[in-house]
Amino acid sequence: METINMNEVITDMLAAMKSSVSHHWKEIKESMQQFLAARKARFELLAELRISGELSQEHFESRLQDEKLIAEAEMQALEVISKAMAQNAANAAIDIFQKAVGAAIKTVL
Amino acid sequence: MVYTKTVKVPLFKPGLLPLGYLLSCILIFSQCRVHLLPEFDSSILEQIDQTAKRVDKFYLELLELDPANIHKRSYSSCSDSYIAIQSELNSLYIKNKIRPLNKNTLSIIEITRNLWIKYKTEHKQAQTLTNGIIELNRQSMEELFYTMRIAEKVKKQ
Repeated sequence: METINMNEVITDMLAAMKSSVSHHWKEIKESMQQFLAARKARFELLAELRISGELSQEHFESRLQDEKLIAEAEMQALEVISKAMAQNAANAAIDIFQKAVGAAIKTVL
Repeated sequence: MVYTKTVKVPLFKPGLLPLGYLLSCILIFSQCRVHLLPEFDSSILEQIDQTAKRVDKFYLELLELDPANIHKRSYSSCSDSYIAIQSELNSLYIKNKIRPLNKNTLSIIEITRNLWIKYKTEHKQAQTLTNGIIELNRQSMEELFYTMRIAEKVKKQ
């Protein structure tokens, strides 16, 4: 049975990502490496099933669509993380302001 | 004849006027918190964990069955589990739909539910599943529940 060198494929996938984002590569390189590392086992299995014929071309393409949906779900989670960080930062700033005003009032009274 | 007399009561003495504004500010800011996400809900996190465990167990049990025995791996032999898990996902969807500021989490649950229904339908059509497909489904679902869990847990302050 044909095999696939997944490390080589992952390197090629990273190269494709790099060329598509050009100038922003440095900012997202680490995230993209993690993105692919998390999928490596599933991509290996997917390739194995297609090569062995366990998955038809139609089902293989359907599974690639599923991978896009899973990636979309992860982007949604990243957005929640960003919002939580922004929310915590803004509330921390308001707390400091509130304490500063409270302290100023104590000195006036 | 009835005489009326209006007495003006000053809210703040002239010197204390800025202090009044300050107190008002304090009152306003004590109510003012930035909300970009709904409050963390431990019962929802618990339900996500329980559903994830149930899905994982479902696929692991399927893997244990002899692949040569088509009847044991048939859709009809496990349709009850499919429906019970779909019902849990529906429940998670409804509980999250009524929470304000929750569109991201709702979208994750919707993707998970749609893929669960898709895999259920594929099993129903094929009547049986190979080890490879079961493992692929298990890994995809594991990833989605992990994502869902992160999206809820991060709301904890």
